Amino acid sequence: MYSILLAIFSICAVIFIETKQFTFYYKLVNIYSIFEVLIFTIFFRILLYTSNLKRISFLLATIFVFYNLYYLFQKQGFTIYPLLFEFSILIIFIFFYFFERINYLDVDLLKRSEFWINSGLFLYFTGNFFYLIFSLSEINQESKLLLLFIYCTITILKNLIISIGLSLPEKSNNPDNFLPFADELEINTHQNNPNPG
Amino acid sequence: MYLQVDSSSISRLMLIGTLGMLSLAVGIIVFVIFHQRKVIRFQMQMKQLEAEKQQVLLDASIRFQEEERQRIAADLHDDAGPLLATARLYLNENLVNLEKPQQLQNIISAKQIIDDAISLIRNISHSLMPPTLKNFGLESASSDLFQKINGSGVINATARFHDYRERLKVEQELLVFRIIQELVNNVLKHSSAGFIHLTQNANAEKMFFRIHHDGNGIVHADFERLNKASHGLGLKNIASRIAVLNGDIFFEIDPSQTYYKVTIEVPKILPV
Repeated sequence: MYSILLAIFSICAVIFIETKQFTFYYKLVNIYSIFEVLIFTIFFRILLYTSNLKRISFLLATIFVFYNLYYLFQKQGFTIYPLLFEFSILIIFIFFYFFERINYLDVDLLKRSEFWINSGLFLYFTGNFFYLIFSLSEINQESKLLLLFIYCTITILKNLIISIGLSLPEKSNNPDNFLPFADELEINTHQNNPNPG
Repeated sequence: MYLQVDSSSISRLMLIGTLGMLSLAVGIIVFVIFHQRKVIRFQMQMKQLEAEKQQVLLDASIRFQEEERQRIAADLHDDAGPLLATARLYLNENLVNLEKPQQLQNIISAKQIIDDAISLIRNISHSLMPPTLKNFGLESASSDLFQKINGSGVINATARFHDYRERLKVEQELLVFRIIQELVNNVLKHSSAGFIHLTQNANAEKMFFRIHHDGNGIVHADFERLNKASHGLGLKNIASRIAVLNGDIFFEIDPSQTYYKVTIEVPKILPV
């Protein structure tokens, strides 16, 4: 669902940039941020066990939505604060997840796909934090290229780690005591009736 | 947010900041993985130790049951069986051919033997489930037990219950009685004691039983060591009964070094 959302917004962003409709592009970024945080809030509400952490994540998401809506309707032009807030919130959500997983010892973390997804996202948000802060500074071409290099490297790293998580095998639905041989009752039935049907 | 800073400084700051944040993130992720694995490993070890302990207690319990059954079977076979067989000899078909005085003598002998068999079977039954415990409670059954021991003349045995107005539940009384029986048997068999004394006290939540004796005893470290050993079923049975009661037992020597004490603590309410 997140990938579909990203694809739709990316296409729209490209269209707005190509047609130089930057006001719509900035508003699109705000709207995308709202949807992104809502999707991640739902994702973490499913992952987290502790009800208090769920409530806190819901509260933070609500505050973010109103904050972003304020910038969407009141402010003109692009500002970095909503994105910084979004990154901070998502980093906090991931911290909640890691904090819980240390205390809930059900299975090895490396075998869980959501751990890899969260690790990839964690590296992405922390790595791009400084990129965000400096992205609007008056910098020369060399620094812009460095920014782009950092952003692309971190995005590639994030996607690689997330794809490792998504490629992990799912839990088998077969019961643990699945017998690798026929049940003796079936063998007896077969012996009694060698020509079934 | 616009920063009017030298571009090369910005580039350096960006690189250092990004690398710093990435290192922190990687450090956190690695810490979470290793910490969780360490705690999982520790929990697995604890579970394994617990499972081993349960297995030892279960094995001891099963072996103790088998030994009890063998003892009862031996008592019935070796004592009750021959007695009844002898009584049968006196009451065979030839009895009608004998003279009347001889008939009477045979009947009296057979009756005497049957009385002995009844008494023997009653003793076996009482050792399985003392009727005094079922009908009159732990205090009476313990006093009865200690009176019988005292009556043998081998050892001076007394029991005193200070506060048993509020009785324990039936299943608790049986378990405590078995523990007291086992401890008393151990004292009689191994300690060469001159006296053995049982006391009982209680507070709002718990009941306390204490056995004192002046023979060769064990302290708590010895109890734990013997409990872990493969032999010694009696102590393992005591340990498993204490666990069922959710109680505690402690072996110690009095500071005066003249007698040993075993203290049993039992909560008044059984866990659900």
